[in-house]
Amino acid sequence: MPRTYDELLADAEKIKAAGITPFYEAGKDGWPLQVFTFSGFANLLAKQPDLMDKINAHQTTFDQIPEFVDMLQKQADLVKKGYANKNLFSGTYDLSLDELATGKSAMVINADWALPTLLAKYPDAPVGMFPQPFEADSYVGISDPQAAFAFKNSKNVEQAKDLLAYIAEPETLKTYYDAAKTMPSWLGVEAALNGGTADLQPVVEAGRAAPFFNGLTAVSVGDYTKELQALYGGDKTAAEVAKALQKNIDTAAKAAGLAGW
Amino acid sequence: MHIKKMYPLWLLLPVLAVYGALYIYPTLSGFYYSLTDWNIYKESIRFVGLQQYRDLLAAGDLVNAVRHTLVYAAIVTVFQNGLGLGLALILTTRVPGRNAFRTVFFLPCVLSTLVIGYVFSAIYRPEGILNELLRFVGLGFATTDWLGNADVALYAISVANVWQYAGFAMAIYIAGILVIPKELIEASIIDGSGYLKRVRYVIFPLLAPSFTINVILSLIGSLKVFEIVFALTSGGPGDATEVVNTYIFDRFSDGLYAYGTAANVCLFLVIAVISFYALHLLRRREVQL
Repeated sequence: MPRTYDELLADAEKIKAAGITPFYEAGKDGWPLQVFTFSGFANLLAKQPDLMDKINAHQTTFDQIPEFVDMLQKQADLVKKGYANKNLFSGTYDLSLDELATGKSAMVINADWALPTLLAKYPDAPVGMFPQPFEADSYVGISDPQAAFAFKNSKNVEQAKDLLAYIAEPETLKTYYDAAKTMPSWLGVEAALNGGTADLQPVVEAGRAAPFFNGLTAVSVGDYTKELQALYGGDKTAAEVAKALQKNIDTAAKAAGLAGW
Repeated sequence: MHIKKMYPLWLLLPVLAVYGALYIYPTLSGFYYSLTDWNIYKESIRFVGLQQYRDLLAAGDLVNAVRHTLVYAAIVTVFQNGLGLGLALILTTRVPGRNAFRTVFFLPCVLSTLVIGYVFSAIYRPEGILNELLRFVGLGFATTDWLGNADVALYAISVANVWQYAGFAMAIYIAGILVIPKELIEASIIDGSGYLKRVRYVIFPLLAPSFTINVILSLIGSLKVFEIVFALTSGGPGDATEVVNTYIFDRFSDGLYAYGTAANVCLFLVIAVISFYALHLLRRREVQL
């Protein structure tokens, strides 16, 4: 398992030499391209805990964060160095799972939500996970858990509360997480995890995790996917993509009338 | 008038009500909402005048989408009509099996555009039918990732559109050719015209009404294009195939409703201006029998 980014690149070089695609990129679907920075950003937040507050107050912008631009550059370089699949703009998420499970591609940059789908089709696929090694003890991004709400003016408030209470019962949670096999966001709930998820559990439990940054910005990041496709296609540089991301946020922030814009 | 007595005017009311509620009202309210700050982040809607239009101009990315849309509309209009007219001319001669061919060529336009989109995705894939065919006939150098290559993706989509609707244009042209009085054709034959001259000087001028309606329909249809682009590329890679309607769709996804509506009003105006101008030009050359 690579511990540094250079080790990762060296491994990719060896994998490529063996005739296997090091990274399968789902450029047609596009959304998986976001995971690289959504997750990698956790490392920047670890070093600058107030970074997100500054972004949301418009005191700093994505294009003014050199580490972020550098991360985008690293992503673009994976394609430039020939580590991604050929014709990556025909690549889809479904194909990425097939390629990974059948060993035609060595790695896919995505989250563990892919594992249940992959294992349902290929139960014996030897698939594991590791954090993108931006640092020696790299952080991982997590897609923050959703909440359930009940409408207070509903005719059936009591029943709704009953349902929520039932969902929160340890036994229900255990049943749910045993089936879903995602890392429980409830304390004290133990679940049988898939191999890949179990690989990352110690990292998350050691606190080396932060939510994806699109869940932390005050407004939507807009169509970031399209900008990343432009990065992969060579139509935009890393700096231009960071600028375009910030422009999406600026547009939405102005529309929302946020302070600072 | 005589007809007024047979059919009282109030019979129009149900149609007007539906048309008004589902077309006139949304269109006019769209004009209004484009002048507000309606978006997902605000609890109430405020009138802001032309602010959305100023932002649209300042952002500049609509210009890119408009350019793609115009290129796309030009390609589709020219080839859909050229191909449709060619097919109509062939299938109104005594070619064997012409009725079967008419059905076959018309068939794609009754299929769902999304289905066509998925079929063409399979054709255009790097290992798809088109590239395999090119390799088979020794044109391997011409293979590419048809939808992933930013330089060709827009043209690839327009080919799918032409394929789908050329049969529709053909049907209108066939109807137009069949109502041309036989005497005119026979007279031109007696005058010694060859086939090409007959098409150029007799059939084509008399087809002008069909030509007008076909050009206008394909212009409006292709300027409003959405489904086929959405199914094949969603406007990507990057913004290589972004057309105005996918741009509007994305702005709505961002929750910027008034902004998207303002872009929609711009599209409406572009379509109206181009269509009326084209209609005016084409009407002038129609001949009355």
